[in-house]
Amino acid sequence: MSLHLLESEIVLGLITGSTYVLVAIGFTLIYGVLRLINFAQLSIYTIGAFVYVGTYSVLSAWHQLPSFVVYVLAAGSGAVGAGLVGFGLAACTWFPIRKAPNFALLVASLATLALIQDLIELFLAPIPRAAPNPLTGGLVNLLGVAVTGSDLALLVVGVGATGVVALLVTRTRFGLALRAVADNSTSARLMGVPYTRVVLLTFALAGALAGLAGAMVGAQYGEVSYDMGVNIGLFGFTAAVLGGMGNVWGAVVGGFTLGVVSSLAITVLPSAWQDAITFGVLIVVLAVRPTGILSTRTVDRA
Amino acid sequence: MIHTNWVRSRSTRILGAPLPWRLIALVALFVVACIYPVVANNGFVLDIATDMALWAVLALGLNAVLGWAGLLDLGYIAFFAIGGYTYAILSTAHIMTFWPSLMVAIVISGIAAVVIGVPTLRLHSDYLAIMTLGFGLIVYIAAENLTITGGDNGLFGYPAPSIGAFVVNSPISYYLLAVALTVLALGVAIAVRRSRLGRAWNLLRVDETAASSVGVPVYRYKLYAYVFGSIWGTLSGALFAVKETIVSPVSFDWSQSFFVVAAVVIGGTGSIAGCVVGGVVYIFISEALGGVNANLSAVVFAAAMLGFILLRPRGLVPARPQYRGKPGLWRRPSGGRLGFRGRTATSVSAVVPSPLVRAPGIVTLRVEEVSVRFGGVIAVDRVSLTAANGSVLALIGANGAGKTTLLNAVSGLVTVRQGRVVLRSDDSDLLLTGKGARARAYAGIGRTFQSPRLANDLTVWENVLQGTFVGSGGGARAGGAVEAGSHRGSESPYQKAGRALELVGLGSKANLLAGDLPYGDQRRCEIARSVASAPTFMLMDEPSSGMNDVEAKGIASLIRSLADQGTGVVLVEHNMGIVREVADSVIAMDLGQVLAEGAPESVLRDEAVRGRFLGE
Repeated sequence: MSLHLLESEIVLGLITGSTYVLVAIGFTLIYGVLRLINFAQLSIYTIGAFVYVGTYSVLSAWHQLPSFVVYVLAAGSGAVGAGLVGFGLAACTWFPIRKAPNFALLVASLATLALIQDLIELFLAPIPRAAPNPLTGGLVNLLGVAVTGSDLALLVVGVGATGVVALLVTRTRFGLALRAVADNSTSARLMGVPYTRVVLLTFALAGALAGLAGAMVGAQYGEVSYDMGVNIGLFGFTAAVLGGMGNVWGAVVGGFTLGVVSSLAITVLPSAWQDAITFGVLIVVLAVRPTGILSTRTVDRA
Repeated sequence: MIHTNWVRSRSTRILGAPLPWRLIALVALFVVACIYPVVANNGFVLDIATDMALWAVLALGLNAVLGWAGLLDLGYIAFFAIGGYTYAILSTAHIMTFWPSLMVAIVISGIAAVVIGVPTLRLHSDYLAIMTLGFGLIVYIAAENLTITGGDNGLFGYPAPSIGAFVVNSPISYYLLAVALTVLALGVAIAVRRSRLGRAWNLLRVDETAASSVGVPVYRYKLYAYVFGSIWGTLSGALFAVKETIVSPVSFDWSQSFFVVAAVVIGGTGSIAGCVVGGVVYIFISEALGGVNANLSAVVFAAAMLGFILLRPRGLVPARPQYRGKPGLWRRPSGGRLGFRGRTATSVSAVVPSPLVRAPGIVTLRVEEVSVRFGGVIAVDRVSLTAANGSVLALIGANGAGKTTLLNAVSGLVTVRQGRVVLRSDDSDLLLTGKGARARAYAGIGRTFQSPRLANDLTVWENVLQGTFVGSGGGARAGGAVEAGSHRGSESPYQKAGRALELVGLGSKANLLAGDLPYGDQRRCEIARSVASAPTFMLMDEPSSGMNDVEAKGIASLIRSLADQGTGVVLVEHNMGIVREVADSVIAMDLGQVLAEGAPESVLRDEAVRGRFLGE
């Protein structure tokens, strides 16, 4: 492999990785608070992409707006819409059975995923829909590698959103409450932390991140489909586990690492096997270091 | 307490109709349902009925993983695919016929299950969901992309199986084969549910710590569940390939795995009849609505699953607690499965005629210079003690003195890096340090917890039955130096559990759900569970906490009678009245160290002890 090819694969891997980061942060936030792997995140990712397409087509009818502004507004509304859906779903599924065993919550989130995906397939888009994107034209030079504007946007948004989440978690009252609940929900409640509100807001935040990722990726691929969420799912999970479930920085490291690894791997293997590579990474990580790359604390043993 | 009151109100009412009639009705219904398609002898009906039978098998197989062992498997259909493809590949190439290819497929699935399960099952059970999701994807991708599987087109035209001269190549023969598999799966499921394995799954699903403290090898048994489930998926997949005469990736995508989970949840997680119903309902819905729009049936099924988990989490046919007869009066006094008459023991002095717990000779439990550290805190600091069977040793001390940690060190729930814990019988020593909680349960160390760790959704009877795990197979073998279990084999698990219940005076409450019991009775239930394992030593953590005076007196006499029958009791207790009444010797602990030890009266009069924590 030539040095240039290597370099460009790494850059492209980082770009793909920033999607994994966004999705993985969503998983890891909810896991941290509830010890729940929320499969419904994957359908929220899809919803974000569809909201992007819908908003884009509405706004672009209004010709005065420059297309870049439309792009930003559409992606933003994808995030906001997905955040609201995340909040609403949590209020409808998690809240009524919050005292149920974890198993029931897991199954409920799985059913939500399937239901939303099937509804989108049935009513909105049995076949993939085109997603408009104004940034595909010009190529930008990023560290000597030519990438499209939307690639660059994805990377910038990935890093930016991570920074915002990091500030939110470490510097705000909500972040403090979130960390308190994640550490020990019983004592947090006893100390007066509004547990239900914190959990619901965490769902909203995780939903917004997933929705933003869905919108950006949809725009980058140029199409959105009902099953795009499930397809990204394994990558998001693997990124979260790779960095250490429940650890936000772990999700960042895990996402970028996975992006680069799978980008390098498909220079050797056919791209259809990308899932297989990710799965292989997951098996190895769980077998060798189940706490993830960053985490030093013990993982929840069985 | 891991489980909450979540499902309790729904399940209590189930205890009712006499078992035989219910069973007869169910079997009759099943037989009629099986015969109908044969009588109808219509290709369409037979085809659907075959699918229903195969899906019932899938649901039954996944149920062992999901409903019994409590592991979420999201890639179950991968085994279905392995079954179908293995048969198709091997028989297309004329390497072997259908029947031997089944064996090969089961072996391949088993290997896959072990590869997935070994790294994953040690972790929090949610990780299995991710791993199996990935596994399902991989098998699908492999089927789509490999040449050996025929890619997108799949494989077809492989020879049909034959039984003697009879070739399985007509709708009715497919159906009969599928029904045979269903009956086999049902029989095995019923047998396994009642077996030692099934009972162990029941407990480890609810509380893994409690399971290992009664001797269940949690990790290994979870792996068994996953492998057991894989077998049925594989068999069902092979028959599916026979019936369809083509295998292609379409039949094995992710949504199929989801639908099997949904079939189990809708039918009734953990319920054998529910699984059959779930499989039948799934095929019914997808045939009824699939003709209109394939996606519509998917939507309906996903919505139904969400609705059930929110509103009726136990499903259409809820799993029923395993109970026998009416409270307090088992039928079949002798010779039957329940060879004991459950007279309600009103007081503990109405002791059972032949003692349940009987340790051979003199056995001592020796703790030698044991220290336990948590980070910088030394919770237990070079503590030594000796307890003998047939006597009661009480540990007293203020909160944080290290009493519970010491019990955990003895029962194997915390790791001891310094010192030894040894069981010594007349001739030999058995080193416990370094062994896990499970191995120590086998060696005869029983345990009750400060707050009862019971399976709240199971009946008192089922909970106590868990305790017999150690005695009901292999227990005596694992005993090593201390063959306390040599007499254990003579009684059935049911007899032992019955005796234990009677001993603690819960005979009349055997069929209530453990979670419905008042606190004092929950503690008794936990003690009964431990007694049922016939431990040589029983470690009890504050058995009287939260009890009123009368209940505490009852516990005290229970402890005394256990000791009189030969059990060694090590007791953590704050109620000095109980300590005075039952203890043969007392150890006072403070800040992880032994402050005083000796006869109860001398220790309780000790100046240092009184000054330190009796508040005098």
